Amino acid sequence: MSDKNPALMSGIPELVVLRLLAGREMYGYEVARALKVVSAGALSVGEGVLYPALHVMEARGLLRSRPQLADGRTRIYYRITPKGRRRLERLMSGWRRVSDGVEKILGASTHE
Amino acid sequence: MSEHRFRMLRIAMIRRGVALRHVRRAALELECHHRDLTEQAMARGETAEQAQASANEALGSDAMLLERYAHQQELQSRAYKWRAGYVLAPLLGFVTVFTATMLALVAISTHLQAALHHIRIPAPFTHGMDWLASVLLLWLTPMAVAIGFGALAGRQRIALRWLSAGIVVLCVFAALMNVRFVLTGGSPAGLISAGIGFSTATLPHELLRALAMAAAALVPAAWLRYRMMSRTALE
Repeated sequence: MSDKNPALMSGIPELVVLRLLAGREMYGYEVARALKVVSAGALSVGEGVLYPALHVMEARGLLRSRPQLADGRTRIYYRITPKGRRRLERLMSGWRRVSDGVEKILGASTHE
Repeated sequence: MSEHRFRMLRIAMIRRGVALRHVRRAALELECHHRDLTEQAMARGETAEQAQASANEALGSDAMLLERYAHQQELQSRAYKWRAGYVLAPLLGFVTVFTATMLALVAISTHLQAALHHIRIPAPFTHGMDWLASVLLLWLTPMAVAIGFGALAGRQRIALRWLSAGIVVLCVFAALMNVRFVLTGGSPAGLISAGIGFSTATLPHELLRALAMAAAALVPAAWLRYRMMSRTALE
């Protein structure tokens, strides 16, 4: 199942981070806040684990980063790349397919 | 307290093979994130200690962070990925330096051939040059190469076992080699030769030589590796 629906099994963190960064450039703390707020607390992880995920996505060419000094702190801002947008579209269509499938199963009568 | 935490985390990440540029950036981002979380908690009315504790909890444990970084192949240093290459790298380094030195000696001798044709070089000088070439090429060169790789291993955070294996391979190889550099003058003016081989009769002697050379090279190489590792970890 995971081979046919990778988004279901492993692509969720990548999907939500790319979706958030598709809107605007953010630094890690902002991404963590946005994850919590937008998902109404449904998606909450150890916030530190966001960073290795961001670094990996950057290494894969999905994100680009730049340092910026603000309030005496150097923040690393991330933004999505064209390759990242293409990846996001693929992950989103995969996720919608899975989500529709699950919705149909949940909505079906158990006596059918 | 958080400074100490992130320094320890940084050292642990380096030891697990995370590339230095990712370690530096992770330290910067995690410290910054921790400060933001602490300030946010204090703004909610928590004491400094409570704020630190809740920031630590929100960020996740060091063990979890370390695992997340260390398990990502994209974040590992190239040297760490290819660390087994250290078994052969010192040997290849030695072969390169050795070959270059031999070619240089051949080139110089060829250049001086006309001049050497008319002179006779005294036997003690000939023996001295031969001995010097052996010491230089079969003792000092492997040791210098081993020490050089010790420094490199420190910069690249290579485990001591890989470096030691590489130095032992290099020293065994060098112990089995022989070099002749005989400059007599006249015609022919001398000979330059190098070879590798062993006989069962001389093998114990050659292995003893390899052992002595490895011991002599390993101590400074390991010390230099440690020094370079400490320096890069705290940069």
